[in-house]
Amino acid sequence: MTAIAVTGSQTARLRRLAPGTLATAPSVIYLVLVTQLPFVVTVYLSLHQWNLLHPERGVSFVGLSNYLSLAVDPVFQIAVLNTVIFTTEAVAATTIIGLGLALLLHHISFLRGLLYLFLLSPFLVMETVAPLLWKTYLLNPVYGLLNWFLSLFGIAGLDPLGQAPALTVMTIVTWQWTPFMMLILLAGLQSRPEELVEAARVEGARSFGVFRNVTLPHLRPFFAVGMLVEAILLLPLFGPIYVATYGGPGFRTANLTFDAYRLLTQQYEVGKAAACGVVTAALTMAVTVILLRRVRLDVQRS
Amino acid sequence: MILSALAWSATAVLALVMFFPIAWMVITSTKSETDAIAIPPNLWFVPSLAKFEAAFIDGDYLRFFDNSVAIVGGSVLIALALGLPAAYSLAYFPGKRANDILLFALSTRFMPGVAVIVPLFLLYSKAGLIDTRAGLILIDAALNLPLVLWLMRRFFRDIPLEIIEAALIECRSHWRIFWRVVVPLSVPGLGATIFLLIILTWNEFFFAVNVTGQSAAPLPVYMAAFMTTEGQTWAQMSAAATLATLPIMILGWLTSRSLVRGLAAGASR
Amino acid sequence: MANVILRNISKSYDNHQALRGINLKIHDREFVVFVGPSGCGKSTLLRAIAGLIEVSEGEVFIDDKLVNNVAPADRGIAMVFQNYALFPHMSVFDNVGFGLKMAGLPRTEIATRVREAARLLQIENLLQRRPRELSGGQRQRVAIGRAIVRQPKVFLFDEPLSNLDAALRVATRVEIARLHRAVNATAIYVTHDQVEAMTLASRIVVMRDGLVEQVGTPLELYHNPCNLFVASFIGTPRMNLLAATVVGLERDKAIVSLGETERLAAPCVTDGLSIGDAVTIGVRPQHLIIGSSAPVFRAVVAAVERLGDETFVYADHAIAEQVAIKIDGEGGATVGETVPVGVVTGTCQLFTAAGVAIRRIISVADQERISAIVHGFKR
Repeated sequence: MTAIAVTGSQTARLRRLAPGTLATAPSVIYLVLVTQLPFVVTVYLSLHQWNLLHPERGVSFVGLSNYLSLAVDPVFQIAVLNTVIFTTEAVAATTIIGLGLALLLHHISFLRGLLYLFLLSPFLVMETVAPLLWKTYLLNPVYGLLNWFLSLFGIAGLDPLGQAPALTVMTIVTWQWTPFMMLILLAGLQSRPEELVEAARVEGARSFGVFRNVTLPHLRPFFAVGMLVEAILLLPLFGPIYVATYGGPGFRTANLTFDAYRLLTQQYEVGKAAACGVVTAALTMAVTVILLRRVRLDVQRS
Repeated sequence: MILSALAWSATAVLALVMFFPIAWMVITSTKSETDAIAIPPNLWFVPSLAKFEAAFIDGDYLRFFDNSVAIVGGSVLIALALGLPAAYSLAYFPGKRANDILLFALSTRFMPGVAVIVPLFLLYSKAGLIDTRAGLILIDAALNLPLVLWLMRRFFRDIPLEIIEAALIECRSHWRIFWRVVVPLSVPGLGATIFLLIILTWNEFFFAVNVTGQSAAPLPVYMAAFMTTEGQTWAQMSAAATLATLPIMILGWLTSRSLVRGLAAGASR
Repeated sequence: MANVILRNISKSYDNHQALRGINLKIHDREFVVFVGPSGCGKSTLLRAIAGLIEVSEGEVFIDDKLVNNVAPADRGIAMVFQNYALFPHMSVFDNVGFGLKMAGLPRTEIATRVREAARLLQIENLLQRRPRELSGGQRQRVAIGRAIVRQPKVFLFDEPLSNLDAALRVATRVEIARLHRAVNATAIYVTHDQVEAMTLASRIVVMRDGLVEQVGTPLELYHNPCNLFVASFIGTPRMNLLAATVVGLERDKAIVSLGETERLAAPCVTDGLSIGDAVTIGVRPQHLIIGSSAPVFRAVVAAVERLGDETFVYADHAIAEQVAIKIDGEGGATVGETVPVGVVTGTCQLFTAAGVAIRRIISVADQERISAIVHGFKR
């Protein structure tokens, strides 16, 4: 999508006059210190037994036993499942709805700016405020607007948060992140070369034909990058779970991040929390690798 | 004709639906507590700014608001101080490693917080950085840095290379070229980048809740505490939420235009 | 002495060699033009002299001092770019005075120098404007002003006229020549347009594929190109090139044949030539004569272009090579007509099969005779 081609005689020609490594080194060093080093330590810690509440047990090397005990822990299993489900559902839903919104926005003109801002808004709300809005105004079983609305049609009240907590969390996340995909796909639509559309029309293509043969292929890199980036950013989902359900009822809506948080701040199990973190990182890395390979492909092609 | 009218109506309806919870939040914050939880919803009421006043007088809210401002300010400044020189070098004098550096920076942004929180938590505990603004600022700066590198490098490269060459012929100091030529010509891009960083940092929750407590926590943490509210202080909560959200909403509206344009232009290059 | 000496300059990038062992000596106050097709390395060489590019091998001397490791700002050079490279956020005054300000000159001195340059370039009334308010020609003059004001030892020009329209190009070309005489400094000018090269240069450097093909004054290159490439690059319209075979050798003459019966005698140094060798004949359009009494070949007129004061006739030679013939005034030829074509004796240039020029032998008297014939015939 975005060309990041850097070298090539055109831009490398000033290399010899460069301001020196002092310009880039601090940034790289800072990032390594805050993100890479701690991760290495996390891996190290995940191989140890360490409980902050019981310092008398000491810190001992236990190899992979943290991972093993997590693997058989039903809470962890739910967490892994939820992480995958939440991410894939969110990406799928936001992409489909986002595409629809982007197409609509692209084709209207009256008040487009205003409607665009309205549609963008959910993404700007804090991840701890969004669930609050839904939990209170809309989904509260007694005072919520949803039940009031249903009661107008004689339908009995629902308790979405209690009866379908996972679905509720999904809905909130979808509401928040649809603008993200919409933004990316809108950028894609706006960069679609109009000559191709005209050529297709001249060849007899109608709206759907244009969509299938010109628009969709052009949007492919936007889909790819958008979905992958969204997946990477949604894997560690935390705020909505924390505020809407606090992982519950029980542990039904916990994901990997929430599980690690719980292990660290409630049970003070350093080793196990670290292991949780490593698993999350592994999952994220898998998706990141796919994304970077995709980005490199685009670089080579451009 | 009918199709476009239908399309417009659909868009308008969807837009209103998406915006509804936010609109309701603003409306509720002007109601009294009884009105706030009234079912059926009370649309005929006298709006008042009482809850907003209460938020400002109530020391708690202001404290978290201050924290947010300080944390956002500090982390954005550090990210710019480290990242702008790097972006300058990567934009005009990229070496063989430039691609690697950029991709490395991108990958650090994708590192899940949960994979680094344990050691950082332990380190901060030992170093006395728990529940301090500085502690969170240091982490958020690392989250902002990759964005500065990517976006500002992009915006710097919008300046034709010949202008930089002309400057190099007239002036041997990179520092001067940076301040007198590059920065003035990239002000719009710099603005958009800063706005984006403000939005992302203001809303950050995971590190905030793990590393700060009562004295240094920013607004997202304060708002999370409302999760156990059961119809008690809806209006108050709405006022707090509105105050916390509105600045970002406005910034987001201002930035999104230029960002979409930038994304679209970059894609067609 | 603001001379420039290049010794063995080579520059290679990852996948190709841009410059291969360039050796040049540019004298103080010369106006040297680097000319050649795109990709020949002329811009690379200019930037190497400026210090914007690092050379892979070789040495650059400016004013007899080695400058390989000297920053561009310290080399005593100034450069005028193809796209002007004016700072969009500064006024014309600030643009022109930028280098002086960076060098720390006092404000009064800067003002004096800027106004002086502005007077020289007739942009005094534009000093407070921004670049975006100016036309292309005005911007170019501001760029030149920025260069002049620093009183550099060497001026570098990187295709400065390419972005101007045709009429403006001629006018600015004249300006540059005038300025060079006024400022009287060394100038190195890069262009792909051989007309610019011919009109501006005291010496021309013809480049191709990273190598210098020939160095000389414009007329030297015109009359004595050292190979096919230079011969066909210099001179408008292009020199006609015809394939021929050597059929006879006399003391200072080679007899070549273009086909069955056509024969041409070319005075040249015949060492190294043998009967049967394939050669190429180069004849400029103004040295071909239609309706000659001693024709060398016959050709069928394919097109006639009348430009008012001169006419170009394009005719197909029997072996299907097309030749261009220039006639002063409104000479006659009709499309489809078969015409006899003659060559003014002593004006053709022979090239070996490898493209190397074979030295012509022309006495001064011959030169005058040729001149008279060429002009007499046309009148």
